[in-house]
Amino acid sequence: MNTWQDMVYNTALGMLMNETDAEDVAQDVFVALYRNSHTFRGEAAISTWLYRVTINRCTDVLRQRKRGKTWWGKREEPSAGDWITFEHPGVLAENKDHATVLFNALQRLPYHQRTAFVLNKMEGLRVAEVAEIMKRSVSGVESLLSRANQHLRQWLKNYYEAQVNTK
Amino acid sequence: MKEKITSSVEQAMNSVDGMQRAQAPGYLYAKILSGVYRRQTLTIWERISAFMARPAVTLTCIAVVVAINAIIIFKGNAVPAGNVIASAEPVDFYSYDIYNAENMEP
Repeated sequence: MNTWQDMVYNTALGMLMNETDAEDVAQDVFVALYRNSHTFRGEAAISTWLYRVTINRCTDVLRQRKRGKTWWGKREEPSAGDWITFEHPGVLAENKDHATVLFNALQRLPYHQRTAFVLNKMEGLRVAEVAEIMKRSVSGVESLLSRANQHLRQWLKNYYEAQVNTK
Repeated sequence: MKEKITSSVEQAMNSVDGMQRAQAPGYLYAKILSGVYRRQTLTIWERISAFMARPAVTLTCIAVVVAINAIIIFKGNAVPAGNVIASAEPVDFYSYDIYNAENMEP
């Protein structure tokens, strides 16, 4: 349970970059697991299913943020595009500043590219595993990762150029 | 200057290499259990209202009601004009009363 809990929480945290939202998503995911527990055959199937539900739930939250409101009113969380000061607790101390810039670049990526990047780089999953979770071909996921890297590099380049020019 | 920018980009791209998985806070387990318990203790009416509150279910219900209304309206208007004329025989309402109706010849 603890392994799965950390797995779901870390994935949600990487996707949403907000601790409270990540906890809410983790709760939703495990309630869904409880409801569907009778349909699982093995542990491998459960972890794939957990990743899939986590990603879907995170995508819902990101869409709500993009719309800027929920069913019951306006959200107060920053929308995609705002500067975030998120620090992932697992990042090495010497990388924290650069990681914060990277997370700001990451939140500007399209959902699928962000998902592939988070699962591959932050969860450390192999491309084949990411492909199974995202229900895509291996080459499709490789393409997503390549485009994600390209977009991130471009955004980071523009950011650092602007930083140098303002000094 | 260009080298500095390139170096910064590379450092940012590599900043998540070797990162540890974030550990869920201790209270998350209790939060999950409370969610599962809340789910277990839902009454049948709460379950039904939760099901009906789903956007997919609500939209489907609205679509079905609109479709039934549309079918009734369009089918009602779709009576061929010929049938209406054929059934419209002239009736003299003023000469027809209960007395005449009861005393009609067989």
